[in-house]
Amino acid sequence: MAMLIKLDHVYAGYHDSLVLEDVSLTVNEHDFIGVIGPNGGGKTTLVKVISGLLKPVSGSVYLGNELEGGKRIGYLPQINHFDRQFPVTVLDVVLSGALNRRQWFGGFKGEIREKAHHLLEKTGIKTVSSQPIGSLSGGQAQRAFLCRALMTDPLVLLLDEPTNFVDREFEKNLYQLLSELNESMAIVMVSHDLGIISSHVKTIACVNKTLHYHDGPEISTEQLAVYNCPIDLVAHGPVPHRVLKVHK
Amino acid sequence: MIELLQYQFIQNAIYASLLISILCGLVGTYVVSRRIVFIAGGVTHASFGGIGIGYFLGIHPLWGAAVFSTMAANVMHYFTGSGKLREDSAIGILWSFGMALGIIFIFITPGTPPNLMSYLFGNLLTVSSRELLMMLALALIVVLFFLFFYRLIIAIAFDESYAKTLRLPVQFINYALMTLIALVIVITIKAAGIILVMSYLTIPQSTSNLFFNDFKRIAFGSIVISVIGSLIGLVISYFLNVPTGASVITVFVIMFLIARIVFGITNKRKQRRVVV
Repeated sequence: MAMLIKLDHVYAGYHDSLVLEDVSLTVNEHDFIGVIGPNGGGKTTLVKVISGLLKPVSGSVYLGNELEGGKRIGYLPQINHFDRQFPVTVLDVVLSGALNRRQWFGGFKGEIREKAHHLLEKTGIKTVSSQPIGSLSGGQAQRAFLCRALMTDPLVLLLDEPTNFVDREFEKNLYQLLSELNESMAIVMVSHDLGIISSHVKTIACVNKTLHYHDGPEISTEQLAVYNCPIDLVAHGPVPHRVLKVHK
Repeated sequence: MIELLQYQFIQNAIYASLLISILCGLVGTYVVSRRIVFIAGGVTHASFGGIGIGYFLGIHPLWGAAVFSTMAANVMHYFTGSGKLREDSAIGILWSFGMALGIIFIFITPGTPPNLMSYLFGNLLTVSSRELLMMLALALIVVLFFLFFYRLIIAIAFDESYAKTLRLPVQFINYALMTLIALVIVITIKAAGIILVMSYLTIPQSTSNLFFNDFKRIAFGSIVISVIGSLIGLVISYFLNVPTGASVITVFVIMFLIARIVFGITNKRKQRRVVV
């Protein structure tokens, strides 16, 4: 399995406060890593470091040969805010994912447009492709941003809370789609939903300032306690315990 | 009315309306979409400092304003994302500092002071041929910039951090656009004056935005609306003998209100059809 991205003793944060300390993580081909952790524990920061949006304060981020220059990392940010009145159509948002340093002027080639339409169809939002992005529901917008992230045929797909706004109906399709995609790309998915994480991902990274990597999709409450990873299990009631143990 | 067209200054005013409509149609759509109207307002007022310095140095005041506003716009943009100073405070400081510098330099320049009213309120009828050439040159640059970089401009304006993950030249586009905004504002001051420039950058765009939801269409629509409004305003200002800037803006607002009412009625009809 080829190494795609390697974080080596990374310290990262904003202004004067460190959010991540001494974090090491390797993303290999075909990985499906679930990132869990408490609010403010640094999940989004981790994703930003992997995507190259945030430069580490110290430590280093190595990119595999195929990822040179950061191309082919697809990123689905958490959409708690985007300007709903910005005058741009859904199709144009998706197409913008195909822009890169070399290709940015003029129109898009036919094959790129075809790919965009194909993705819109696959995610079930083709009918709204010519509408302004602001007219979409949260879940539809999330899907549009997923399409945008897939335009580059990424080798690594970063998803930050992809199920936040997605309606129940599409959620199943989303995981179906993700496991299809996982055949050709590594996926790093942030989620606060332990149940979902453990039934879909291959390995788990627990982030709470530091990072603990679990080489399997299950964690028990005891492990969480040992790793000092205070996931809010109470909020989920008894469900996580059950779900976590189903795989054992 | 036809014989009016024989006058050089009327011809210039018509050409100027056309060029300013193209400039402000494009740049204004960006300003409105990106919600940086207040930055544009700050740049407009800060440019008065440049006008004063231009007078003092004995160069064309618009050159002074061009240099000064470009600097002000880029400084404001720098503070926008830096977190070092509140963005709106930075704008407020430059806004008033520019005005203050302008007044100081105009007062310490020997000789008769220039007609301040013409810079505060502008006059389409006094646009010189040289200024027309400046407008034409800038219009060419702005149109080419938008044609060439359109995809990038939209991608970055809509979602800057995503554009960064794609390694797009985000800062280059942002600073280039701030510079173009500043230059467009300065050239428009001649026609609309410092106090009224904002109307060219916002009213036709808001009117166009009622009917269109796509950047290209809003820009195109606002150019058309702006040309029509400017020409009607020009005619009214001639016959009523009122300042051109003020009459053009009044026409813009009336057009906006009419559009808003028409839009409201057609929208209601559409909704009713859905209900039925």
